[in-house]
Amino acid sequence: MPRCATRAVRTHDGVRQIEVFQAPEVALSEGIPDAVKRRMARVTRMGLAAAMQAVTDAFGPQRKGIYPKPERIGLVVGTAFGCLSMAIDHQDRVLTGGAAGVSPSIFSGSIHNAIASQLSISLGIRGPMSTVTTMEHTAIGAMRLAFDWLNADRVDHVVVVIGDELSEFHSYMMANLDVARDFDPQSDACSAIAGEGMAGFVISRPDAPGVRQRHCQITDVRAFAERCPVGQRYFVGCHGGEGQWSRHLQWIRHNAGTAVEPQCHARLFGSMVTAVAFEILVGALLVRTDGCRTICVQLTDHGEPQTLTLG
Amino acid sequence: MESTRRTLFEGCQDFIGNVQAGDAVFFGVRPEPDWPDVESLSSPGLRPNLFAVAAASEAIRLAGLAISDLRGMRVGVCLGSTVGGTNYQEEFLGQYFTGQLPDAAPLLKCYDTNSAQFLSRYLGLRGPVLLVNNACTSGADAIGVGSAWLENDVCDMAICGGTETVLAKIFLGFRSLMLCSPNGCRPFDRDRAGLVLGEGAGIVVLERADSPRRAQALLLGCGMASDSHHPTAPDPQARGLDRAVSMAFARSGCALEAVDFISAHGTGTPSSDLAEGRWIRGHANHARVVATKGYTGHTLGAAGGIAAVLTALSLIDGKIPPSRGFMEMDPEIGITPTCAVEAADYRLALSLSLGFGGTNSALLLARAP
Repeated sequence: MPRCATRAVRTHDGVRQIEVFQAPEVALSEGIPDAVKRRMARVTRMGLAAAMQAVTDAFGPQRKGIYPKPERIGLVVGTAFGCLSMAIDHQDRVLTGGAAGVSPSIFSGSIHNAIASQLSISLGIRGPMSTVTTMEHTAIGAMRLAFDWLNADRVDHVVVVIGDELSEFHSYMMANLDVARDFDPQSDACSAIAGEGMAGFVISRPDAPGVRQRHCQITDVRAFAERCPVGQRYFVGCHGGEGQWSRHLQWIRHNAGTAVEPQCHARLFGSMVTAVAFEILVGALLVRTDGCRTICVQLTDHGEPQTLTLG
Repeated sequence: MESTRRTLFEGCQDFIGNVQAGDAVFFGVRPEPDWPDVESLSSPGLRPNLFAVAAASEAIRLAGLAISDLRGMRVGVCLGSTVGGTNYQEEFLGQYFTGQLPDAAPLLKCYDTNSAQFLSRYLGLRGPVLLVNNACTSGADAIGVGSAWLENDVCDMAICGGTETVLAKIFLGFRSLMLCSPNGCRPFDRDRAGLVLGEGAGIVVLERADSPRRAQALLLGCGMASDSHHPTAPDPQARGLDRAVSMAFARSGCALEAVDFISAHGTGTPSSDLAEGRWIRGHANHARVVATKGYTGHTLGAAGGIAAVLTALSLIDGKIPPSRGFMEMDPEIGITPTCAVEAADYRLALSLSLGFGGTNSALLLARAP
C-alpha cells in the first residue's frame, strides 16, 4: 500500500511542506538485468511490479514466460501522464544543456509507450500492445480496449496495467493552486493529496486455458455510458476536483435510484486521474468474496460518463 | 486532399504549405460552439489539435456529412499521437527549471492538449474518446480501436487517425539516438541515413458496412503485435510485424498474395527499413511497394493515420506515387519501391507501421465497390 510522505514545494509564500501518497519501492524479478532496472522510469518499475503480481495471481508463480502462447496475450497500459519524471528530466536536459545534454536512454524512457515496451519485453508478451492516455477516461478506456481484443478472439488474455507516478510537477501544481489540503474525495470541496500507483489485471476469455483462479467477471464496459447500469454497489473514481463527487452522485442516482450510496476509496491511494482503476481492483477483490454486482463509474469534468460492471 | 493528389501524382510541391505558425485560417478552421477561440490553436501546445481539427473537418466533409449531422449520433474519437497530451510541459518547465515560480494553472491545460478529447469537444460529439500513445504506430492503432468500437456497437461512427507536431525535445531525442538524417529522407535506399521529422494529421471517418453513405474505401482488417525484443530497436526478423499482418488478414477473407501494393512504414532509418524491407521481400515480394515519408517526413504518432489516408487515395485513384527519396536499391534489403507514378486496377493494399518500443501495425484496405 502507498505510504504518506511529505514533500517540500516552492510557492510564492516560500517553501511549503505538503503531504503526498508515495508507493513503496518494490523489488523486481530477479530475471531483469540490473542495468535495465536502473534505466527504468519509476512508473515502469511500478507497472512491472503490478503486472507481475497480477500474472502470478492468475497463472501462478513463473519466472520465465507467462503462457505457452505469448502471441495470444495482449498488453494494455493506461496512464494519464506516462513516464512523467523521465519526461521532465529529458526536458530539463534540453533546456539546460541543449543538444549536448540529451541522454538517449532518458529520451527513450520518456516516451509514453516506454512502459508497455519494457513490460512486453520483461513478461514476454507478443500479442497486441497499446498505451492509452485520456485523463479520467484512461482507465475504463484501457479496459474497453482489452475487452474488445478478447471479444474479437485476438487474444486469450490481456494484461492491463493502469496508473501514474507522482512527480514534482503534481506536488508543485497542488501546492501552488492551494488544493493540497484535507483530502476528502467524497466532498465537493476541491482537495487533493498527490498520489501514485499502478493497478495490474489479467483479463481472460471465459474459455481461456491456463488460468489458476478467477476473481470475478467483467460483464460490461461502457466507454461512453448513456445511462448507468443497475448494480448492488457503486464505486466512483474521484480525485478531489471541485464538485466532482456531486456530479457522480447525481448521475448515478438519476439512473439507479436516490437510495444508492456510492463509495470511493481514494483515501487509500491519493488523488489520481486514473483512480477508477483502483476502484475496479477493490471491486474485483470484493466481488470474489460477496458476489455483489459492482458498478465502477468515472465521469470527466465535462460530465462524460464511463462504467465498468463486475459480477 | 486535392493538393495531396497533385503532390503525389503530378509532382507538384504544394502538399506541404509553408506554415510557420500553425495558422488556423490557413487550414480553414472555423470557430465552433465548444471552442470559439480558434486562434489559440496556433500555440505550440495546441498545434496537434489544429491539425486534427483541419483533417477531421475534411474527412467529415468527404464522407458526405456536415459537423451538425454528427451531433445526434454516437460518434467516437480515437486519435494517435506521441506528443499530443504531453506537450503542455514545455513553457512551464522552461520557467520552472530556471528557478522561477511559474503559474501552475496552465498545467491544467493538459486537458486541452489531449487531441482526442479536444477534437470530440470541439465538434460537440457524444461518444467514446481515446488517445493512443504507441509511438509511430499510434495513428494506425487508433484506426484499429475505432474499428473495434464499431464492431462492438460502442458507437455509430468513429473519427480516427493520428496527429502530431514537431517539438524540439523530440527532435533532439531522436538525434541523440543518431536516427536523424543529415541528407533527407531516403526510404529503403542504399544510402539512407535516418529519418526526417514531419508534422500533420491523417484522419478517417469509419462507419459500418451498412451505412447509407458511399464508402471511399473499405477497411478489411487491422492487426497489431509487439516485438517483445528491444526498447528502441526493431526485431531484425520482424516477427512482430509478421504477427500484426497475420492478425489483419485473420478475419478478412483475403490472402496476402492478393495484395496489390504495400504502403511501407519506410522511415529511412537503417535498422527499421532493413527489418521491414526484408519482411516484404520474404513474404510479399509480388506486391508493389510505396514509401511516402519522403513527402511528409516521419510524423510519428500521425504517420499511421496519414499512411492510411494516402493508401485509400491510391485505391480510389488507381495510382501509386513514386517513393520520393529512393534512388538505389540496398542489396541487403533487396526491394525497389516505386520510382514513378504507377497506375493499375488496384483493389487491395496493406499499410504497415512499425514503432519505437517494438509496436507493429497493419491495416488491410480495399477499394470500395
